[in-house]
Amino acid sequence: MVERSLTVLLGLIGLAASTGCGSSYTAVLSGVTPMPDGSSLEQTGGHLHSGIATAFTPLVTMSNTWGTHSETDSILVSTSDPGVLQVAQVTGNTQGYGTGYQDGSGSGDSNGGRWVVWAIAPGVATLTVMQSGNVALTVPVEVTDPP
Amino acid sequence: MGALLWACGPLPIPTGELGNGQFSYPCSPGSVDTACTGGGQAEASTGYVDPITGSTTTLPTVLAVGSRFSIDYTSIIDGGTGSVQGDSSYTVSPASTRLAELSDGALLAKRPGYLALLAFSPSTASVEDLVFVRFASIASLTPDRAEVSVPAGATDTLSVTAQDDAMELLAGRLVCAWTVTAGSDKVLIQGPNDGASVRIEAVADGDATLSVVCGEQGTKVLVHVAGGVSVGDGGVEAGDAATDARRGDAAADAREGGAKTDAREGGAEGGEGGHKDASGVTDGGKNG
Repeated sequence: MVERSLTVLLGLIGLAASTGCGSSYTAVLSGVTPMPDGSSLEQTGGHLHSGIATAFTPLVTMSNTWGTHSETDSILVSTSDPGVLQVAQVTGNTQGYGTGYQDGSGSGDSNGGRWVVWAIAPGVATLTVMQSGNVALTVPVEVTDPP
Repeated sequence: MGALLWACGPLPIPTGELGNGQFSYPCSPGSVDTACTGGGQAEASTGYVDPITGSTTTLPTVLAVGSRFSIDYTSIIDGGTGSVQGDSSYTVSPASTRLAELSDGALLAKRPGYLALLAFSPSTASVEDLVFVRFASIASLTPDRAEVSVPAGATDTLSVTAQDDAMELLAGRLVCAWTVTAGSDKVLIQGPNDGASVRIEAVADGDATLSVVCGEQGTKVLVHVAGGVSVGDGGVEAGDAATDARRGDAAADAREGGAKTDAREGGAEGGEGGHKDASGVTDGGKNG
């Protein structure tokens, strides 16, 4: 009886794992560097003036039935319109910009590294944070010329 | 080479927003820039000034729209260097060409606002650091002297500085146009007339007016030409060795009866004709 129950349970786990059932990905933009002209980049949206750039660390968390944990590998940040907004990874140190994993573990600044986004020309683009192809965050960003 | 200089020189202090490198403002010898002192040496109240290159780690507070400037980069990660020309291991690029673009080997400020300059590593297609500069429109021009007396046969150098609407001094190599708008038979422009300064030569007694336009603003300088130059004359204000040498020549010319001046005036007889000749000199000095 116990053996049969374990078999069923393992089967369910295998099914859930194979289909990604119940897994969700979220991300926060941590350590957004200051912009001198009032431009902003937040979780819910951004407004940048042409020519402005800011760096940030995307902290990605995966949640499923078994709990949550931070994802540090295969994080990709992309933009829907490179003519409006561009993004690239930052090389070098990440000192001072990590804030720790969301579940409180880890030292912080190794979680995916830093990225920099910069505004090219007026328009609207979507900034997308993904982990292994799973969308964790989308941020609509409006770019306008400076006043 | 950059790494070698970095290894032998002072350790770069990070000035970029991301703490990975040092941005600096190079000064071009001979060009007029309020961020630089004479002789192309950068002026830095707090930053390090390289005694060889004259560059400063203190970037100007605000640069003039319409001016040219450069920003260099030194990585504290690997000692690699970069410039706006992209001829080094890093390339310093404007975040948007709507605010500045590469022009004649330097960046040309195009409109007011803040601009991020990104230090790219072409080999990794990544950004190592960034820094912000601010541009402001020229609201006024101030000549170093509104009125100047130059002995006939002598040369002098006039210059202007630009301010924004808050009267803050604007840095950058100004792109201007100098012309002799009155008395063009009295004063000639020597050499380039497209920067913040211009060299003039007084050729005949009388008054002349030089007009200079930088961006959308302009100002005038009144030039009095009177008397020939004599040895020991203290009236010549330009003080470099080259000018002194020219002053000597001019003095000799004057003592010889102003042959040099007369020769120039030969084409200036009749006033209007002289104006055209002077304009020709002016136009010929333009470099774009």
